Amino acid sequence: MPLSMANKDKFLKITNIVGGRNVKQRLSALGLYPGSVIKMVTNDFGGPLIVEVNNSKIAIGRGMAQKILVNEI
Amino acid sequence: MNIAFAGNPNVGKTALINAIAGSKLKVGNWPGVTVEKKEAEFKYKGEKIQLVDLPGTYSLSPYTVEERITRDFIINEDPDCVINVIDSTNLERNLYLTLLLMEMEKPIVIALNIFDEFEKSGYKIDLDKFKKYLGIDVIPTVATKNKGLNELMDKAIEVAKSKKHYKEMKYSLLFDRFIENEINKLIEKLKKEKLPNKYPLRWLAIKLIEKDEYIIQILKKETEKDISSLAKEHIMVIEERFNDDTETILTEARYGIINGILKDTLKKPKNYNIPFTEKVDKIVTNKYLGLPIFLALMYIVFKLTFDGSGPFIDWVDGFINGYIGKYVSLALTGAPNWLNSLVINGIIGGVGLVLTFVPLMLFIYFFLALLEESGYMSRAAFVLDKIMHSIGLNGKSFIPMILGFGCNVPAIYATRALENEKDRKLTAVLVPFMSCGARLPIYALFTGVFFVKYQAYVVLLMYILGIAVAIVVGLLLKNTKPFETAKSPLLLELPPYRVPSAKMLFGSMWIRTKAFLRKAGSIILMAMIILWAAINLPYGSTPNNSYLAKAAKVVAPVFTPAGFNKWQAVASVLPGIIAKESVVGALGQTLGVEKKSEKKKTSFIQDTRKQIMGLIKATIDSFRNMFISFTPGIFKIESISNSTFSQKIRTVFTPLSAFSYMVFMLLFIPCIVTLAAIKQEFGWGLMFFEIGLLTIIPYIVSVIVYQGGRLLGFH
Repeated sequence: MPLSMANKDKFLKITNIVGGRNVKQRLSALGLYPGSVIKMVTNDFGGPLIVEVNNSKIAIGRGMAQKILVNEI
Repeated sequence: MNIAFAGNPNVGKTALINAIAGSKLKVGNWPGVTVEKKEAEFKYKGEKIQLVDLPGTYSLSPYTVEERITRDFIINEDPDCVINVIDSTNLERNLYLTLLLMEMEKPIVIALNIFDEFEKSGYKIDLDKFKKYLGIDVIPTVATKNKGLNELMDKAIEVAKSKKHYKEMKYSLLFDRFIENEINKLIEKLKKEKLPNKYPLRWLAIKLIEKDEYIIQILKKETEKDISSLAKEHIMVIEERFNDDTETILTEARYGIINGILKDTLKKPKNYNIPFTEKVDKIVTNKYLGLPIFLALMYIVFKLTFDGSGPFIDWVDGFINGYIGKYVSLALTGAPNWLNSLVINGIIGGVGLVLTFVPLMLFIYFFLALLEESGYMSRAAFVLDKIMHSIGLNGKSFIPMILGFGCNVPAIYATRALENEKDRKLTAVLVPFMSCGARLPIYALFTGVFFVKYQAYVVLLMYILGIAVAIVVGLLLKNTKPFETAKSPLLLELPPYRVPSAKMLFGSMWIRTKAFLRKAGSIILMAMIILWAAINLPYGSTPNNSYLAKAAKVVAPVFTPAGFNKWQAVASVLPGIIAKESVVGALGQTLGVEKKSEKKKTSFIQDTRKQIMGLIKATIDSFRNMFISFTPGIFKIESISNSTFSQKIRTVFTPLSAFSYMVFMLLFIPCIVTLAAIKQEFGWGLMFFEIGLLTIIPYIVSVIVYQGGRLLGFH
């Protein structure tokens, strides 16, 4: 499912990032790449969301979050 | 010796550099872009050091300006040593940049910063093993407590001195054997090409395999050869084997290396979280509370900045124009009158104008640094993202816009908080439509004459009109190429909240204000002299027959559709460029209203004592304004008591044409200091664009207002 649909406090594993090289590169530099495990911190369904990866919090715009595919773990 | 600092944003790099270079730091822009560049030159243990702060970046991809600057600098300027500042509480992500830097084969020293928090929260690292894996020296540092700084500099110098060996330096970190094999094959091919030797071949091979367009283009320019085809075969082999694109494969491979190192050297605490940050974020980023909290904080920043700096601004104004001006004028006794006027009104007036902005700059830079360094700024961007997105701006654009209501100049500088260059430009272009405090005297004059009953509403209408025009212009510009911003979706780190050190805040405030004085000062002075000439020449002329008046008489008919075609009104527009409040004085002059000048004889000692007492009083007033009184002083509107002035205004304006004139003044070029700020931050191009925009738009809008008003039966 896309990251934008994930619920708060769930642990997620990124399976794929659908998007251009620019998007992929920017995300992976922040530690978000296929295989990394993240936690959803805030998702108010509307506006950006916040995830946690390796102790750091990242705010992601909703549009971009739709391009990140995840599995709940 | 040339030492460059590289690192992720929010790792305390700025604090580290402040602690090392302190007052020697200079701030400017990287050539051709609006990314802030900090550098310093100083001596350390007899060694002459040139320190450069590279922009904070997470990687070295070619997609953002900051990353390209960092790459280009390391390749072209060939620093003797790169100090890679990393946040020790977030090693996995930080080491990603480290690996990319290592691929560039420059001498590196790692500053393992924020080491106190790292230890306090229960992390343990086997430093020796860690160093051995990386093949790099690692120094734990705590920038905020000045810990490890000398060791870091000593090590950097030692490493830099051994520079001649760096090409033989073998970093022991390799990709998996299959990828490494392809890289080596490509290196062999590259060896046969004659390439500029500033490029390490292994780095070049990796970049070609990653299909890095930017480096391919640069090489094409430099060597007139397209070598990207050499890599094609290797890209195919790798992509086939791993079933993904090479960029992703190499990225994952780097994280693989990092995880391998950390597994063997780092012991994580079982439960690492920062309770304080968690608690604050729960409130500050809350769906319902986020926006009110942001607005309340903005109100506080706005109030403290303008109320706090106000008394100092008044004092500086009096000090330069009253005190310094008086004695320079005395010293010039006997010199021709025109020289006296040029020096006093042109030069000293210009210097005074620049200096009156210093208190404002100091205050605004202090609060900006506080918002930025504490970590709140990125939360603000998060909270506002949804709203600002709809008008094509980034969430952080809100801050400069709000500051613009106080004064446009700090608002222009506040666009520094935005990461994206196009966002910054568009925001800066729109800031002047925010009605600043200096426009109030104009509104006060005209509403006092024509709209006494509805004074407050008319003034409020001006503010709203300014915002409305900004939104319309923003929507129009957003779809043009130079300002296209839609393609930068929000993606940013929310760093843990940290208390910034006073040294860091004051340092940042001072070096940026210094840059304003140096860069904006000269342009303002030049403009002041030109304007002085227009208003006062030919010398000895009355306001009726100066060059300005003559020109205004010629141009005036152009403003017939807008309703104010009397030369007095048109001539008063130009002095408004010096500062908007001078429009009132200029109207008084062109309409022939005498200004009462009071001159009492006072001695030098009396005057000096008065200035010192004035400064003390300004300090007290500033504190009182900031912390005791709760009504922002700028919103006070002066009443018009001079009845002859009011009568003369009625001979030149009707209520409708006065309203149209106010609209014109609202939207017209705010002042030369704002223009100078735009020039300093964005260059001549955007400044001239702004001059054009702020001439055409006010004309169009005031014509619409006047003609529309007539149709509705007003006059």
